[in-house]
Formats: sequence, C-alpha cells, structure tokens
Amino acid sequence: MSAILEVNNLKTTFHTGNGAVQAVRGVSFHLNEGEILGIVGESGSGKSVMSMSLIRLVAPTAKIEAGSILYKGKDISTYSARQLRSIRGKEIAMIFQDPMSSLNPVMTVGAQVAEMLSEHSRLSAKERKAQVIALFNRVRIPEAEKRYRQYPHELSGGMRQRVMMALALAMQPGILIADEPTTALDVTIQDQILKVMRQLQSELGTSILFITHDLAVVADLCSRVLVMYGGQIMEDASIDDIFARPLHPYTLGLMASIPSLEQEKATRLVPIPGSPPDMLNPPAGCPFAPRCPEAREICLENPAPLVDAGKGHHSRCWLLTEGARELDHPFRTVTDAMYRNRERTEDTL
Amino acid sequence: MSIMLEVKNLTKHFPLGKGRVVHAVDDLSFVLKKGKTLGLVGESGCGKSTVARTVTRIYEPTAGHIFLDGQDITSMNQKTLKPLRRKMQMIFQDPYASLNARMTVRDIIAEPLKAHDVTANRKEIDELVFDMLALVGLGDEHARRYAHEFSGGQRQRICIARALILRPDIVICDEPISALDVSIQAQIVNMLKDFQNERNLTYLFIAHDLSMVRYVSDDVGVMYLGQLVEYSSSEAIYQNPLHPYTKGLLGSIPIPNPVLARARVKSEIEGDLPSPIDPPHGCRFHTRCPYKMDICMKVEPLLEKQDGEHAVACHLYG
Repeated sequence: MSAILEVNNLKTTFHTGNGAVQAVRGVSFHLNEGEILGIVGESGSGKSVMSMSLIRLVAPTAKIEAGSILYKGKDISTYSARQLRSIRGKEIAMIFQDPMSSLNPVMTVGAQVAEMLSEHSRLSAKERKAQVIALFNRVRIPEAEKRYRQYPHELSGGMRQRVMMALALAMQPGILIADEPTTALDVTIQDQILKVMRQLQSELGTSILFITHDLAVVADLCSRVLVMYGGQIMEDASIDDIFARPLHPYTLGLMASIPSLEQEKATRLVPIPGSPPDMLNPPAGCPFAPRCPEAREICLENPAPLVDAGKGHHSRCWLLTEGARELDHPFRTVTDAMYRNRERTEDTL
Repeated sequence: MSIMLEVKNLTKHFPLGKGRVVHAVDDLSFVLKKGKTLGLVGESGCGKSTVARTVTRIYEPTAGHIFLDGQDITSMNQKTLKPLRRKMQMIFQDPYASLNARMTVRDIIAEPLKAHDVTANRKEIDELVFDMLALVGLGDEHARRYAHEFSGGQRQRICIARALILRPDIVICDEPISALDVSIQAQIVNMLKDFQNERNLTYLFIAHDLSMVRYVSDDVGVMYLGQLVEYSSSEAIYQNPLHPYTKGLLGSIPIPNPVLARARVKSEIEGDLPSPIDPPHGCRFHTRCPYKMDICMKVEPLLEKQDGEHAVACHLYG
C-alpha cells in the first residue's frame, strides 16, 4: 500500500502575548491510500492544530515548520498561498465538529454545494443540481430534493454534518480530514455518520484522517491509530495491535478510564491523575511524565525516544528502551486486566 | 427501601403561541430510592434536562406531582420550599457557564451557605469551604482564585463542592461529565461514587453516555420524546433491553474493542428525533422503529411491568 500523505517533523507554534504556545512539537506520520487513520487525543493535545497545519488553516500568527508534507509525492509545505488554494477543498477537504458554523445561514444547503461545483467545474445549472442531489444521496440524506431547498437552521445536527460531507466530497478529494465530526451528535446519529464514512472509504477509496477523543469510535472505524499527547505522537499502531497490547502508559490510562459495557460495577475506574500539560511551558522530558505513575527521573528530564515494538507498532516511552527492560512493566494491574479482557474476547468468538 | 424523590405523571409543556406547544415532558413517573442512583438516558431533545429542571422547580410543572422525601413540593410556594431546597442540589453540564467569573472560588462555594443563612461567621465559612475544597481534591490556596484559572475538570470539582456544602440528600447531575476529557471523566465519576457511599447520597444522573450511565446507576430510565419508554435496574436494561429504541441506542454505542466491534450485530436506528412540537401519534417511536405494527401508529403504549421491576412501553410486549 502506498502513502498518499507523508508528514515529517511538523511543528506549529503560536506566538501569543504570554509567550510561545508549542501546540505541535515534531509530528511525523503517513496516511495510506484508501485508509482511515484515527488520531486520538484529549483537548489541547494538538490533534486539531496538527491537522489544520497540514493545509495551513491556522491563524497567521502561527508559525508552521515542517521537514516536509508530501501529498502524492509533492511537498505542499513549500507551496505558496495561491498554490495551496488549489489543494484545499479540491485535494484535501475538511469537515469540523460544528457544522452550523461552517455553513452559510442565509443560503440553501443545495446552493452551497452547487456553488462549490461551479467554482471548480463547468457544468450547466441543471447538471449541477443533479450532481448535488447525487451527492446528497451518497451521504444518505433522505428526501434530497426537498433538502436541497432548505436552509441550515431547518436541518438537524446529523443532517448538517451530512451536508458538510457532501460539500467536502463534491470535488472528490484524495484526503478527507474529519475533525471530531460526531462529537456533538447523539450516539444514534453518530452511528449513522460513521456508516457513511465507511461507505465513502470502501466505495470511493477516499483516505480519511479521523480526529477524535473517543477510543471506542476509533476501534469501530479506523484501521490504524495515532495517540497524541502534549503535541507529540505517543503511540501508533494498527487498531488490533493497540487494543491487544497497548504499550504507552498514557494509552493504557485512557483505556482504563472508560467503562466498557461489561465493566463490573464494583470495580473502580482508574483515572489518569492530574491534568494535561500547559503548552506555553511544556515539560522538558516526556509530556506525560508529570501524570505518569511509572515515571522515572529520566522521563522528567529527557524527551523519550520512539521505540519500535514490531508490526508497525511504535511507542514514545523510556520504559520500553533497552536499559529499562528489567523494570516491571508499567501499570501491571491494568495490563493484567487488559489481557484478561482479550482472552474473554477470544472466547466469545 | 425508603424513597427520596417520587415523580408522578409529571408533565412540562412550553407554549409557543398560536396554540402550539412543545411537549418536553409528558406523563413521566419514577421513583428515586434513598442512597441509589437513577440514570436517565436519551438523545438530545428527549426532555432529560427538562426533567431535572422541573423536579427542582426551576421550571414550574404543567401537571403531575413531585414528592421530595415524602412532601409534595409541586405547588409549594417559594418561601416554604426554600428550606427544602437545601436537600436538593444540582450539578450542571458546562462548568464554564455555571461558575460566576467575577467571584472567587471561596465565594462561589460559600454562596449556598449565605443563601440559606447557615452562618455569617467568616471563620466558620472559611473552615467549611476549606473542608469542601479538600474533599474534592483541591487545596486551600485555590480559594482566592477565579474560575478562569482552572481547567474543566477542576471547575467541575468546584461545582461539586458548591453542591455538597449544604450536605444535601439528593443531587441532580445534569450531564456532569459530558464536557470533560475522558481521563478527567473517570476522576469525577469516582469522586461522585465515593461521596455517595460516604454520605448516602441519592443521585439523579442524566447523561447520553450509556456506558457511563450503566457504570454509575442502579436503575435506568430510557426517555424518548418526553416519555419514559423503558425503566429497570441497570443490569436488566443492558443485558436484556426490551424496547426497540433501547436496543438501538445500545447497538449504536461504539465498543472500545475492535474484535467485539466487528463481531456484533448492529441494530441501527434510522432517521432523526421527530419534533416535540407535534409528536407522532400512537407510539412516538413508530417513525423510526424497525418492528412497527399497525397498532403502533394509532394507540399509545403504556409503560407496563414485564418482569419484576422491568417496565417497557411497547406494543410488542402487550
């Protein structure tokens, strides 16, 4: 499988009155053709800024530095503002958490999608409308003809997000960046939207970068995942691998703090103590070290290296390095529980 | 088991003018047992928060009765109600909007003491506030700060301190963790559970996160368009859901386990929640129900007990 997007050492810094906020601190990853890649992280982890930096959609005060951002082999990090305009929307499209603020409130949703088509192609008004209706059908908007003439405020949150998806897909982009598209929606509607996402990926072969804070959604939708914290990638692995053998204490902590539907009520959730780091003044060592129950001195002082754990699984943790092998594995009790879960899973199948 | 809060046929309608009415809550009945947690779940717009605000008399109920610890508070005037309000406190979803930005944390947490004339002695107030801060895992040094200096999780701790300082019997938690990060949610939920054990608190826990509701609740009520469609112990509802809506809701929760996620058979709910201004006739869920029968479009099913406490409002079980 070839990579449609390859990012090397991306850094984004916001210069504010209080100092420099280092939102993204050296992120490298690739997105394969036709793949749904999940990016998981809490608020402030840098996941949204990272994805918006790819197509320079951040405030002008932000400074983006990148080794390279290769889209289909071309380094778009060196593109001029004008060149980048031809990429945005057409090659790399984006949808956001709140569709209401992305849609024009005084224009019918049909006209908004049609406008997009007329910007980029030469079609008659009739052909445009037919194409918009076809797009609406593709994202499973019922009564597409009627919806075409409606305004955003007349639609539900789920419907608006579908319109956004139709808008994003109008130009058949190579990559769709979806930034928490289902966070504001109810589970029932989220389920419907995820289904449409899967369909797009399988029918159109769209590569999707799916940003979320919800590990469960990632398990359901993605084939690979990056876990972000403090502006860095802490762990990346295939979905099966990360749930079968999570290696970073932060990933383990995230998994232990969500109750599963089978969770025994008597057992306590294991929260991660403390709160996320202040990116104005990020910790010198591993950003997770101040909250990590297994942190050693080295973790607080030196940035952790990315350790290759095989099968394309990487984890940025000192405890996995050569010299730390003799130490007990962090979160022994949690990992034990996870392994029990895994055995149970295999039993039920 | 004694009953802390009982709601009988509670109805709350919001008039829109021209005879149009939002049926936010319709004929809802449930009991909250002392020291237990009742979880209310449902999609946004189903009336969960209206229930919270009506049982606390923030909204005046249109019809029905609310009994707090045996006393009917439905039409009690504000003066007689005030001492009873000490028993019932609330925690809201948005810890950013529910704290006054211009008050110090000390004054925020102390405000209920003043409102209920518990004490005016500064030293006593300070002591009580510091106790509360310690209880929710904050320090004395936080007392002089303002809300904007805290993270979401810390703010929610301040909200909890404010709600508990009067030593209430019942706390209405209206989506207390929805706005928080996953790692922080567990901190807050564990804290709420500890307080319940220590102080025999009763919770009405409103949320749309079904796995969290199952984890914290003893009983669960599932709401749809202002009505209760299923009500049971949380074990029974999650292991043996009866109502097609409950099944669909449970089926749409993403599972944090890729192997199980692929293996499960999905029962999906199509479409959106209809408008509560003109709710569908008969069973309100029939527009989205995969098991719809003729009777469902005409006759409204009643919430009837099937198996012990397990009640469901559905013609499939009639």
